[in-house]
This record gives sequence, C-alpha cells and structure tokens, in this order.
Amino acid sequence: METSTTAPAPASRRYECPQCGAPVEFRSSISISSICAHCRTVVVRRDFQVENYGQVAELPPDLSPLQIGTRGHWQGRAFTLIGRMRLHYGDGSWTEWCADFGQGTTGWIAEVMGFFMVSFPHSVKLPPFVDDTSKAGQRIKIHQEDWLITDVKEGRCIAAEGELPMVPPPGWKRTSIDLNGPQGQFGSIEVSSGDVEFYQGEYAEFADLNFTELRKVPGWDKEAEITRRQSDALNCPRCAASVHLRAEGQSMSAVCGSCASILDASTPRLKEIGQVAQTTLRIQPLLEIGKRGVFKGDLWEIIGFMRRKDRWSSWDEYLLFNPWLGFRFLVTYKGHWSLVRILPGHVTDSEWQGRSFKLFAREEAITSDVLGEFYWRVKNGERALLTDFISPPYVLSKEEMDGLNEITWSGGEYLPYTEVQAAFAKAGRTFPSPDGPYLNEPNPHRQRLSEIRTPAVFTVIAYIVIQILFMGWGTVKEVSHVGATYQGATPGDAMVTETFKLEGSSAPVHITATGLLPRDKYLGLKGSLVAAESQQTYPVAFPLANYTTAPDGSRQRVTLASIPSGDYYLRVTPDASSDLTQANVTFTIERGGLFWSNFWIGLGLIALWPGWLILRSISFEKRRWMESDFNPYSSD
Amino acid sequence: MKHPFYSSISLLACAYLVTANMRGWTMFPDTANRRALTSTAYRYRPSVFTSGSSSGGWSFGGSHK
Repeated sequence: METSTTAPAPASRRYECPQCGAPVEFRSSISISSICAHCRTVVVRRDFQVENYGQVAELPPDLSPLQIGTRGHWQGRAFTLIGRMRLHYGDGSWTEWCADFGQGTTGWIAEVMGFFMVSFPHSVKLPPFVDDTSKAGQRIKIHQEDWLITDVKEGRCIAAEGELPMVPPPGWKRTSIDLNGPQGQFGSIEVSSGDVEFYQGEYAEFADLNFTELRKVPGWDKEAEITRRQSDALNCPRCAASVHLRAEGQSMSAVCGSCASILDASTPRLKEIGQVAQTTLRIQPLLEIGKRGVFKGDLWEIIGFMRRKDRWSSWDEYLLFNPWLGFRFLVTYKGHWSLVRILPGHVTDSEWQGRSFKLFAREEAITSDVLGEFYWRVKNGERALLTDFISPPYVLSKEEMDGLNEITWSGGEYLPYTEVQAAFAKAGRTFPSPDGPYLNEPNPHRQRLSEIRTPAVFTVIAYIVIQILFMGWGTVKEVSHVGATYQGATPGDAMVTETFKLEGSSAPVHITATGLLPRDKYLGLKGSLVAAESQQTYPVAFPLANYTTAPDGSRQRVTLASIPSGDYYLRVTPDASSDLTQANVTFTIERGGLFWSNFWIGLGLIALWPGWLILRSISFEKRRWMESDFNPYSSD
Repeated sequence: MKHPFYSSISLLACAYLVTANMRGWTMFPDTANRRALTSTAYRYRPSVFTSGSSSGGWSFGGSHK
C-alpha cells in the first residue's frame, strides 16, 4: 500500500439530487454514493448518471468532535473524513467514519465509547466456520496467527451522511465480528448478505490520529453553535420530566431523575426500557452528576453513577465524559479511588503497561443502583463476572456479562482521594480518608523503602569502607611486659608492678596475666590499672588457676576501653590457695584494636529504618491479600 | 535532602563508628572482667573439662579447694 503524508486532493464532481434537485458532491475518487444533505437521499453514481437508492434518516445529534472534512494523520498517512454511518445494535450504537487515505485507499475509523479503531480492508482466506453464529472467546487463525473473537453483534445502519465507498440501503444490516490480534491489533469480519470481508487495523486514541479541522463541540467549545437538541430538552416518555443528556450521541441509556425510568438514549426518541428502584433516587452520590472538574490536566464531566456489589462488599462507580477523550470511570471503595479506562484490544490477563499482574479476585457483581447516563444499556440488577488482577497502583479487570457476547478489559490506576476531592468536591467539603489497604493501593511502606534504598546502600558501603580503613589503622601493638611475684603474702597486701608508658590518643588496652602455678593451685588477682599522675583507677581482675580440668586458667586477659596516654602501673590484691607459697606473674600490655560491637551497633542503626519498613510492608501486603480468595500468604 | 531523618541517622552512625574507633570506646565493656572482680569461682576446680583450644569434655574429679 502506497503512503501519502499530505491530505488527499479533492476529485470533486457535482450532480443534482435525483430526488430534490439539490447539488450533491462527490469529492473523493473512492466514493460510490453520497447522501444528499438536503433530502437525505442516497445518491449513487453510475458512470455519468446518478441514481436514487432511497432515503436514510438524519443522524442523531452527538458531541463527537469529528465532522465530514476533518483531516488527520495516522502512522504518517494523511486522510480526510468523507462520510459516516451510524450503526445500531441491541444495546447501543457506534459511528463508522469513512476516511479517504488518497490514491484510492479507503480506511474506516470506528468511533465507539470514546476510542477509535482504524482499519483497512484486507483480502485473506478466513476459516469456513466464521459466520454470524461465531461467539466471543473463540480463537481463529488468520495469516497463521491466533486471533481472538471479542465481540459479535448485528448492526443496522440507522443514519448516514457524506460520501461512502459502497451503497448503504436504508435499514442495511451486517454482523460485525470484532477480533483482537496477537499483538493487540484490531480486526473485524463483516458478514452481510452472505458476503464476508476482513478489515485489519489498530486501536487508537484521539491524540494518535492528529485530527485537524475539528468540529466545535457544543457545551465544551465556547464558540460552538448550540444545536437544536441542546436547546430543546428531551422529555421522559413516562413522566414528561425533562431529561438532559450530557454525552448525547454516545449515551445509550439514561435514568430519569424524576420517575426512575431507564430510557433508551441511543436515538432521539427516548424510549422506556426499564426501571430502577425509587430508593435509588434518594441516593446522594459523593460526586454530583453534572459536575465538571479538571482532573489529571483534562476537563471531565460526571455523567453517571452506579452502585455495584458482590457477596462481600459494595462500591460506587462514576462515569466521566470528555468529548475528545471519551469515557473514564472513577471507582471508589472505603475512601479509596481508582481511575479506570476501557482497554480495547487487550487480550492478556497477566500483563499491562509492561508490568506483571496477579489474580486477586473473581466474583459475580450485581449493579444495584444506577443514576445519570451511560454508553451502554444499563439494567438494574445486571450481573457480570468480574476478575481483578493487580500490580499496585494498577488494576486490570475483566468483565464478562451474562447474555452479552463480549469480554471487556479495563485498566485502572490508584488515585489519592485528595486529587478527586480537589477536582470534584463541593467547596469546603472533604472526602472520607481511605480505610484499610485496597487491592491496588500502592504499598506506602514499600514506596518509602524504595525512596531510601539508594541512600541506605551508599551508607552501608561507606560504613564498611570506614571500618576497613580503621582495621588497618587500629591494629593491636604490644607496649610492655611487667612482672610481679607472689610471696605468700598476708591477706590485704597488694602486688604492684613497675610503671609502663601508654602513648598516642585514647585507645583500648589489653592486659594479659600469665602465672606459672603449681598443679591444682589458684591465684586470684583483683585490683586496678592506675594512672601514675592522676591516680585514676580502672578495675581489673585476673582469676589465675591451674586445674587439670581448666588448662587455660593460668592465663587471663582483660580489655579496657578508651585509656588515655600516660604512665600506668598495676596494683592487684592476691587471693591464693592457702598452700601456695610463691608464684611469678607476667603482665603483657597491648594497645590498640577495634571494638566490633561499635560496628554492629552503627550498622543496626542504619538498618533499623529499612528493616522497620520491610516489616510494615510485609504486614501491609498480608492485610491487602486477606481480602482476596487467592491469598498467597494463606496456608489453605 | 529527601529523607532528612534517615540521612541524619546514617550520618550519625558513620560519625559514631569513626569516633568510637578513634577513641577506643565501646558500649559493651569487658563483662568477664567485671564479673571476675566479685567472683571467687577460680577457687574451685571445674568438674567439666574446659579449654579455649579444645572442644571440651567431662572430668570425673571432685571439687578442690
């Protein structure tokens, strides 16, 4: 396929509408039909003639920022929107924009729920069993790749405008089988009147398509003209109360705030399709429907509220709308908030945003109350099987609804409640603060731990280096040998050694007493190391003995901390065996060395805070997973 | 400084190590020396064989004063 980086050049041809005579333009070379803007007739060109193929309905008003003539760039290729079809299915509707990519290339841009699918027709051999009876969840092989069917629905064209590369007869129907490719590609098999066509492309966000020449959105762009429907309020068919649609064209259902009827909002004729309990109308949601707030840098309007519950708990979901960005959900439970978005094209339950997820919960949820409007047909008591996978602060959710042939993936990120409060709370109102750990709440202790990890590692390295340096500097050196002789002294007589000199700064002193004692004799020496000048004393005791059961007893070592320099001597009082008459004792004086207790105390001090955070972090995770049926900490 | 409290503790630990090593301090003085000042256990022959250089053993001799 050739590419072009500029918008396709118009190949305009003008005809007269065969129905009303108004001018009908065929600007694009790919156009086969054009809808008369005056009378809605489908005008089909055949050579130099045009034919009338019946009339289509007027497009319902919407808040889409796109319009015929909007230009854009998709992956380096310029395009212009030349026409569109509105397709309706059982539970809603979507818009298919026809894009002229130039050089005869037609692309389709589906606009649904605020995101886009860009696709192009592809000629492929499809498996023979793929038809309108295919089911979501089935896998099929296309181009030797596994594609997953995510959605099967029959769409009916309810309105169209502009130019189209085919003829959309009024009421034209087709079955759309949406697929997800192995790399998250978008695919669609269109089955219509026995014809099967395959379209392949990708999911895109508004910003990815680089749109220009957009429509001014009423109510959002200041200069936008107010359309008829914005000025004429809709009325509830049951109680005639006015119903104001905030996401017109995108909303599929709305709840009448007066009579609690659920109304089909997919067409301009509001139709009652259900009822919510009168008690629902008395609910005062924390966030007011209709309130707008700037949130994460974008303006959002709250348009819907749902209360859902499972076997264990109940939580609230708010639907936010922005015409350019689509829809988001604000989910709140016990003061915790998450911003959730639909993930089109998502296929895996274990990875999102490059992170691995763990299964946290699988429960059937029931929608107990709904207020406001929604982009699908809400039903009171609607049931869905919800499966949550977590990788805080993210949550990945899979939703499978009864009777809907579709699997919906959504991804959420945890939000501090203060952010939601700042955006949407009424002046002076504060939101309740979070209660207990939540499934995707970031572990605050792990966060703090990661913040101090680098300083802690560097501190430990520096600390060990300091100790290694001191090990070289503070080695033990022998200072002196002094002797003393025991002579059967009378009790109370002291033995005094010669004076010896200790030099340098304060340092440990190690005194080793070695006595040559006869067998089974003892000589206890208790006294002090005495500073000759100041007479300051440092108590010492050398319990010398020579027993066959304690052969090392004749040698005793005493260590004294922080002894300043100066002249010292030892004065000790002997306590000897009564029959010991004489014994020579030698004192070896050493100086220096390190106390390793200091090293361990300091290391403990450095590790105390990280250790505390690790314990708190583990405790937090245990409490988080206590809420899960898949608790990895559980011994069951 | 992102974590002044933790950084202060870390610096304090390093300063403590440097000072204690330079001054020869210890928070845990020789407890054997302190105990020996009041003990008279050396007067009695231990019944259990004790040695700093062997793994120890049993002696069957009685106490001796």
